Amino acid sequence: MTDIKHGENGYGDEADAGFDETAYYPETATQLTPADRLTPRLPLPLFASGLYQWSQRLLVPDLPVRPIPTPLPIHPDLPIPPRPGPGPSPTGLETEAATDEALLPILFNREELRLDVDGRYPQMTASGTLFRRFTMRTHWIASLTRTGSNSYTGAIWFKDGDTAGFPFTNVNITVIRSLFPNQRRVTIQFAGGGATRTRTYGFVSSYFHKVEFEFDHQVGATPVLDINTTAHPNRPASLGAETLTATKVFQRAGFDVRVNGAVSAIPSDGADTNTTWSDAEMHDAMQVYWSRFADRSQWAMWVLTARQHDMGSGLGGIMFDSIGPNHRQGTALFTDSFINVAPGGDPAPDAWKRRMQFWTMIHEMGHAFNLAHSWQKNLGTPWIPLAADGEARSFMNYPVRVAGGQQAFFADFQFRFSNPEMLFMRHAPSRFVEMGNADWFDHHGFEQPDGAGELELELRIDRDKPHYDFMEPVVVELRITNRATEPRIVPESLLADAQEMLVITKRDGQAARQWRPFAHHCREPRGRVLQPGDSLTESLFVAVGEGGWHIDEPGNYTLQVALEANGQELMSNPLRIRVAPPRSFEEQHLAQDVFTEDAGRVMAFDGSMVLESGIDAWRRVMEQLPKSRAAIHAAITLATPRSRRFRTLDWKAARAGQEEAKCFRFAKVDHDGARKLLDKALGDTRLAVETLGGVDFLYYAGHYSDWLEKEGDKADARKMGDACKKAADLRAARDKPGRERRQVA
Amino acid sequence: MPVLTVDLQEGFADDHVTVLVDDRAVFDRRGVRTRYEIGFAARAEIELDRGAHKVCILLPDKGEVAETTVDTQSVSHVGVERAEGQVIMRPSAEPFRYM
Repeated sequence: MTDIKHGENGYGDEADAGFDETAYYPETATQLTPADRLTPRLPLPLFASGLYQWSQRLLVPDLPVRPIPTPLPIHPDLPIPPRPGPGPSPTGLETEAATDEALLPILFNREELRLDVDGRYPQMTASGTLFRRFTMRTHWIASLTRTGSNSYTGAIWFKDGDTAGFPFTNVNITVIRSLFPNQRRVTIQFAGGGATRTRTYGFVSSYFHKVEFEFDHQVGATPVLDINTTAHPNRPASLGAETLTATKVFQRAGFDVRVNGAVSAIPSDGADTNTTWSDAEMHDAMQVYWSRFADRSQWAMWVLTARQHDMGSGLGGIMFDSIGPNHRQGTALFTDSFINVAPGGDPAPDAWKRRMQFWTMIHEMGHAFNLAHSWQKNLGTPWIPLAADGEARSFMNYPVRVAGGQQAFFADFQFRFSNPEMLFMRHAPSRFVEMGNADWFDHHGFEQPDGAGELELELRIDRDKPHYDFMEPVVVELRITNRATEPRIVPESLLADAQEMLVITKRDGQAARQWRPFAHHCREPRGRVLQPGDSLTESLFVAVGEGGWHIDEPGNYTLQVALEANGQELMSNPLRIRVAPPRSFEEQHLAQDVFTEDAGRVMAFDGSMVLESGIDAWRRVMEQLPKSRAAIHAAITLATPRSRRFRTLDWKAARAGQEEAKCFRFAKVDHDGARKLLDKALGDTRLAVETLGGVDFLYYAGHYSDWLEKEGDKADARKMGDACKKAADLRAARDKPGRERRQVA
Repeated sequence: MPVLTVDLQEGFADDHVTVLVDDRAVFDRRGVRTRYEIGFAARAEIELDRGAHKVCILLPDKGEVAETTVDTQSVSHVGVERAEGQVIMRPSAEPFRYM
């Protein structure tokens, strides 16, 4: 299904577009006189600039699935079906064949287009981002020339991310303007590089990004959140009179600004009895007082007006947030500093101070958007080669550094960012600009999806510390929780269908790998109602999958899962785990047989009677490392085929065309052997819950209890039922207090 | 007694920097790094007698050196920047300001 999005995700309606009066003047807006501004042109021009989107939902194309030699346990009387885990189910998503894309498993394709050809400070630029498989991003930027009233052309001069499948070098753009946002369209023909491609995007918003600001202040430090642009006589003659706010400044830079009204007045003695602030103290204050603080990247920042920094009155403001994993989320300006001391003889000292404080606030906020000082543009690692411009009349230049000093600066300052700065904020890859973001796959795992949604996806484990023994098969749990205030329906098998999710494993220092299950399942689509606060939990045996073992070496790993539910992209928390080194030569030696594809498949399918080398590897784990956690998994693996009339296909008979009944052989149930193994695996409830995970423990113990009851051993069946209760209590105790959940699964 | 403030500003990247006043080392630090968000790296404050003094900035690992003479009666601050392999010194009667 192809969707052309209109005004979704809170973007896009005209009321939200926040046009100010100047936005109705196209390219020449920067040069307008005050008189011009009072006379709107008729007819009103219909702007094309803004954010557009195209999206497509796809089913995963057929993967080259290897034949699975292990017979799937399908006998209806079997007490223990295979290990619960993910498998595919084409639920919810409509199918559309991949057209011009060479696709690996794709859950959801989306493209954003930012067209910047009119309105305030047009950069005559188009940029786009292609989102694939949650982690793949391709970003491009093209400079445009107008070729007609509604058409533009230009060369792509910047590419970033996964560019291998994006050979194009040119764009031809056609715009459909309309008074009605849902009728606005942009069609782009990509060309060059030996390929062509056409996309039509629907209008989303007049702005390029959304951002949220929160302004807090120290008691005794009065914030200046707006100024009258003509209050000081030293200004450009063409500067219009208006009340300017941070919201307006950044709207004009292309942002859909929301100001968080949760203003905090921070007590003066809250940080330090010295009354001055260190960067660390401000960072602490940000965590306490900023209502939006989070350890993740987000289009949001905290602005603190405080009295003085430890560096003294010579520091007017600072983007102090270079502490922790997510930088550029917090900025501060200081009222007891030089920005509140007007030069001697200034004709309007109060207006000077107010202007300087406002200017400093915007300057520091610019740093949070990753803008450097004007004279530093060529330093460090700029996103594109840039020339320093020490004379720029920009919020990012120091007024005192230009020729003629602050007098000359403000005489020619239009309260704006420079064009290269506008270009960066509007069109650079968002990870360069977004507050708290960092390099792709660097430090934080994966880039966070936009915003927080109604459904929350959590990757969790049932142990105090995320530490695993060497050779202990890693099982994690996925939990999806309805954070909305209304019930939500999700596909019942949402977390059980690995085909519908992207699972990434990454060992530190190595490339990330996509985990895929051995088996694909087909399920009847069914919905499950999640009441507000309800959650659905499923286990994920992530240690091994198609293509081999993922967690087989000592070291630190990051695991993360993404999936789509109800049209919302969900990204789990990155889960960090540590695998201990082998404790003996014996473990090292045994690992050579365990970390094989056969042993992995035997465990993933809860046993086999065919893959002898795999079966033997787990048998030896039980013999040589009987007290290890790996032995618990081995016991379950070996018990399962014994506990049922295990059916195997007689290939010779099948090939010879024998009737169906003669093609299968059934093994005898080994009651004693199976019980001995399952008692060993599930006997120590706490240990078994830790290593199997609560979901799998309850599954195995529950089925074992039923089986015992069926066998007539009611006492032991009851005992196993009690173990299930204990396991449920252990899981409840492990859930964070204050986060009440009603378990559906 | 007047205080001379030497501000190490732009262009330092984990550098070893020595400040000599009248051939006496008054500041010697490794790992001097500019914080680009404020254009400032480190500060040395030295009490000096009134009058002229020779101020020398040395980056021994890079073989860069710059020298100037300041009179504490008219100069209280010296800004130091590194740009294109050169050390630039800017004496000033006013404190430097950062944002």
